[in-house]
Amino acid sequence: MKRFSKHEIISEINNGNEEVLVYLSGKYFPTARRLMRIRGFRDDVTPEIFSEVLAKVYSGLRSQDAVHFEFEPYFLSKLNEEIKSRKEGRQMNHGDGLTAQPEAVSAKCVQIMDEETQQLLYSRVAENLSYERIAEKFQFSNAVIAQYEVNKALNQLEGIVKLRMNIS
Amino acid sequence: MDTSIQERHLIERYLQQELSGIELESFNERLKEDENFKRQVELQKLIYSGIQKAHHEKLKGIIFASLNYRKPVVPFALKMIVTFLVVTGVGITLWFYTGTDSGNKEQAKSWFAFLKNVKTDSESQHEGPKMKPETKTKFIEPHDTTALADAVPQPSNDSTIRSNADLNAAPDSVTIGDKEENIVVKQDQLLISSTLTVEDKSGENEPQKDESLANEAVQKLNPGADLPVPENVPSSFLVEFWVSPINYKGYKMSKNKLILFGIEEPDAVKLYRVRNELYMVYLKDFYRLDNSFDFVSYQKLKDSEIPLAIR
Repeated sequence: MKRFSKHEIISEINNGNEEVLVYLSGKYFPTARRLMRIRGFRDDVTPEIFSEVLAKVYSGLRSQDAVHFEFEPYFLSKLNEEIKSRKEGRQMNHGDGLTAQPEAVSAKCVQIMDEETQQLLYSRVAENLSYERIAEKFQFSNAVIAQYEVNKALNQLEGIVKLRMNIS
Repeated sequence: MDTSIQERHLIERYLQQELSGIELESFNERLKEDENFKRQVELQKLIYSGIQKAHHEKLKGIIFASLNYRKPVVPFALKMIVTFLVVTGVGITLWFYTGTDSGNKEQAKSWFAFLKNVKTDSESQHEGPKMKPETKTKFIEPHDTTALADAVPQPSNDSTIRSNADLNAAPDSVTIGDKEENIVVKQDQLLISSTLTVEDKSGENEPQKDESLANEAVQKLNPGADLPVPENVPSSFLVEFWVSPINYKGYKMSKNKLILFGIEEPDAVKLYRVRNELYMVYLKDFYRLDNSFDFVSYQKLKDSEIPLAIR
């Protein structure tokens, strides 16, 4: 497994390199498991909570385009936050039950699209990349083409969602 | 109808809270007035949150796969129960097979016999070269002898003397261990089994006649009279001559069977009966034999105790 220095972790997260997630999982999972055992969580729920927190941290840092931060304290504070909220029996950022269901259907619609379209949508909507960077990443000739491609993908998704949810 | 790039960009900016001032006011105004536009914004909001959720799920999937975590098939509580049972079972097995020092065949043949062998080797090394680790004799108590003697099958009542070749063929010792160490457990050995006639030396014939008349009368009156029937004294005994590895000398006598240990010359044994008492003569020595369920030692009679009839 490839090792990353502190600075590399930041730069790789900003670049959207998902390989860094594998490294971070291997490095921080034992600590997280120990922490959760102390708090009385069973081992079989640890991976789910750990992956939830790490994915949130990764997305959050990526959207903020952070330049300088200490990953370990940041991650552990987020983990403690999640553990505390789970202990109290409430779910973080999951919204209410009414919106959770259509959101899940919409997510399913994204997952049935082809890999390249998914990546395009993730880059623009989830990672909040500019059209210039999208053009660079997906090797489009310029930002306008990138915007056109993103819009095309969104229209395609809109059609699928409408069909799935019977929206006229 | 597909949303135009400009309209989508506007909605996107609104969802990301990038609109402000007049732009935001006019957007809110349009939301209130135009129902279709409102529905369009709601749909875009749903699509954007769906994309974010799908991306989040994808990241979680990558992390989960990298952890290589598998949910245990066997529940933790069941694992603990099974572990407890296994540990208890192993403990009990070790206790019964290696914990006690009483050697028997089952223990020596057990899986843990090698532990005992190792122990024996180390002990023999400490004790010096004079010890022979190849042979180990089991000391059998007279009690064991009883058990072994009882286990011998009952012979038929004919007077044929068995040569006991077949009995000798049965192993008088058990060899345990075939490669590293031969432990020989010696057992009692049956020399010969024969029927010996008891010579009656009571002497007086008259009382016997009287007794026979009395017996006849009892037989005729019974069962109506319910008179006690005198026991018939056996005129011959089935005698088994045994040799014990520990040179035990003793006997056991039941109704018409006699088991003798430590008699080296069976031909020199004679049985006499004097006034309902059984006497054995062996190599000029006189012994009185009594009925017994357990083995008892021979009681050599003094000269004064020997009846005149057999002296």
